[in-house]
Amino acid sequence: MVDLLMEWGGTLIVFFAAAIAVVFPGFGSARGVGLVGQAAAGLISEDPSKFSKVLILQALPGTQGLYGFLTTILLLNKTGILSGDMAPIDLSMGLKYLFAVLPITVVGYFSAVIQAKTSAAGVAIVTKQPEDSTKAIIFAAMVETYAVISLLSSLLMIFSIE
Amino acid sequence: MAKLKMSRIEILSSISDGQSIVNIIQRAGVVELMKTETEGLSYLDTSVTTSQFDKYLAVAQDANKALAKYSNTKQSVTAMLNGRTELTVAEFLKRTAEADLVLTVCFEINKKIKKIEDNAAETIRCHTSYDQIKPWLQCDIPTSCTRIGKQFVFVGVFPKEYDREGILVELAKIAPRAAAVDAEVINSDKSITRAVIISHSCCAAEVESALRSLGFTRPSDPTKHPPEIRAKRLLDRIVQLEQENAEYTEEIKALAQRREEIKFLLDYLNIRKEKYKAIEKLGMTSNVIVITGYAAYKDALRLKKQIEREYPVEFSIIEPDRDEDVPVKLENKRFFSPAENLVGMYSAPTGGDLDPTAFTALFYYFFFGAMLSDAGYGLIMVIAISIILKKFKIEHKLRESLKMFFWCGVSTVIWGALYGSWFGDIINVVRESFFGLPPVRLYLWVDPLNDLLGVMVCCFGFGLVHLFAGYAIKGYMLLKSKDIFGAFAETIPVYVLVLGAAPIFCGLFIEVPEFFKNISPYAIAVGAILVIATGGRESKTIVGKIGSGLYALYNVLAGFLGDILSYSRLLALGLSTGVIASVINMMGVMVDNVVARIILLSVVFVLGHGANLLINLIGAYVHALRLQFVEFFPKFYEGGGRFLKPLEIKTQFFKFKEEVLNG
Repeated sequence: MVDLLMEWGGTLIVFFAAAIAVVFPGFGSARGVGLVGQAAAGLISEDPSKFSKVLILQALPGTQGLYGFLTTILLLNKTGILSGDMAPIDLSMGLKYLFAVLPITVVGYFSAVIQAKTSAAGVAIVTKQPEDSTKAIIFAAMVETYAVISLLSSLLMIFSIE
Repeated sequence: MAKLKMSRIEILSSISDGQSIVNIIQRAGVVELMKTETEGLSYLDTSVTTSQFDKYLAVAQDANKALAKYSNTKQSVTAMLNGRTELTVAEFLKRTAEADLVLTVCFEINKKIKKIEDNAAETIRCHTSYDQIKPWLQCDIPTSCTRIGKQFVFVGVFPKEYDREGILVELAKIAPRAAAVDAEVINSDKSITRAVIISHSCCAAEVESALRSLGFTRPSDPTKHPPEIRAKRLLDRIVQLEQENAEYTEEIKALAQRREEIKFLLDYLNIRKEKYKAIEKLGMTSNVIVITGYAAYKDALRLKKQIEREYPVEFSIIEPDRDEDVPVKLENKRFFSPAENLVGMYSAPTGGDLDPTAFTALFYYFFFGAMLSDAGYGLIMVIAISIILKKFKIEHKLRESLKMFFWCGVSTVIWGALYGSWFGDIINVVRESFFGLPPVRLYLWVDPLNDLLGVMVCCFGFGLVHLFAGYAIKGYMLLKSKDIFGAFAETIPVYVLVLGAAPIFCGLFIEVPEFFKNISPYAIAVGAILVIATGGRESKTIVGKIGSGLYALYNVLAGFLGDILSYSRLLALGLSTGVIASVINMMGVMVDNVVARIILLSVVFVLGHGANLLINLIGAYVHALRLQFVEFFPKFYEGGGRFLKPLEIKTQFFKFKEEVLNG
């Protein structure tokens, strides 16, 4: 049992890391996109012509899910799982990969939800001041910075593991 | 690359020429009129007229909408892209002559629409009434009937299910002495029984009170005739209403060819409304009219020539005072001008600001490309936009936006080639999975996945250039206003400090030559001293100077670090396009059979890259904008001005040939 764990534990942890990196940011993005969509639907029921503007607002919290996906792909690629020539991964290395995906996993989830709230509030700007809708987009994009930073941190960590 | 020089214009003319001169100004579309409130001048109140125009506009708009709805002519994308129809002035004048007639057509259409709506409402009412009468159809006497000869008749409903026996039994229980009673059930279900009760007049009162205690009620809307007749009348009415509506619809459809004229009317009314709104701003005495406004100097000169040629006027072009709230107008070379929209989204420049359009354009194109970073996607943008711009006569803002995305596309192609991303790694995927060939090198500069840190440091480098450019513009502006020390203080200390810190910062990520690492501390020291020495130059006391100097140092360090890190998004978004594109390609070749693989790859390729392009377009658009608004502009740009809003011919559907000449 211990032998098995020593031999395969690392690989399992890498799979676990790959899974959470896509699950949590993806979940956050889904929640976020849904939240903005509800706010946007209210506006569109009154004024369908603003569709393109609110669509951008809705799409903004969707990127975290992509960042999580990107992390997972690069992780699977780095460990050779994707290409099929997977070398055995020992336990400590597996744990390193797990920690490496934490930034985007955690920040990805929360930043998506928070960004969605900002975006949903931005829908009000589009409603009342359509010509200032870019400002609503910028407000929401401010939140995303931290998802970008955590994505880069995760990637740097993954690629620094020898 | 510039804000145009603005001037105030003042035109004095005789009242009789006023109208024509305002027409010329409106057609030129370069003057923002202004109300001066000068003593001794009187001003017209045209609010009644403009509200009248508003009313007519509403009528024409309703008619236009109705025609669109009933004639089923959806506006095609081609028509939308093609913009407004051109009219010569002669055609315009000819059409204005018919405006009143077209307006009556609009009224007529609206009247028909109103009737159609009324009829539709009545149809619904008829249906409701019919539904109410339907259960009574078997009843062959009027439901309002109370007596037939000596018999008392009760038509109504019980709130319970009964059959004839049931009713008679219940009645016998409550009113045992009322013998001469009969009942007929029209219909019944679980909660309701419709019935007719007949009793002899001798026991009518008893029966009635018995019925009441059983919860019997008469129908709320009793009929004078047997229900059948009312039902027939309702059905006939419904048919008639539908017929009428079909007729009205046909009549409206027959008017569909007048849609163009109605569109013209809309434009015409708008032009007149704008003009009358403008007339409010004109001052006048009994003989003279005074037109004041702002215009770009060169436009003012041209307008002066044009008006003076035709009318005896006093046209003066005045340099505005410093404290005047002068609107701005931007003019840029064609390569840069699309970014005027971006600047406008932030804020118009004020008097002291430099027009940031050219810088914004350059950096925007550059950063957009770095973030979309796939040559294939860039090619799609470039080709699609070229075709659209060539084939359609797109106007104004949309045209400018498309031009902006064209240049962004060019930049994307360049970046994609540098990073070696052509629809991801499609070339190598096809080589490998269809021909068994080894992958080839696609990138011209670097494959970002192989040198994450190197590319990231480069991105920080681009950010440094962007930010330094911001400081440089600020310095240039101060230099222009003869504040040489200010210009020095705003640029050199920051440059020295940041460049001094750069080797240490970069050393965290990549190898930096020893030489730079060695001089770094000295440069930092010199830079820091310079920043402290100059940062407090506006404070009066020594303590204040040092205090604000230290604060400036903190600001530069913290601010710069945050700003620079922000540029890491160039790498992150660039990576995400390329990697996801490669994943799409990989999914396309997941089956073994060659034919199936070709089919799968084609489908996955089109759908996958389409979606990836859309998502990353939004990302690149937003984040390139953010780098301008949040990182770049605060370094030098005040904003808060306003753009010139000229009195012009604001039309939706038609334009004049003249306008084409003007630009």
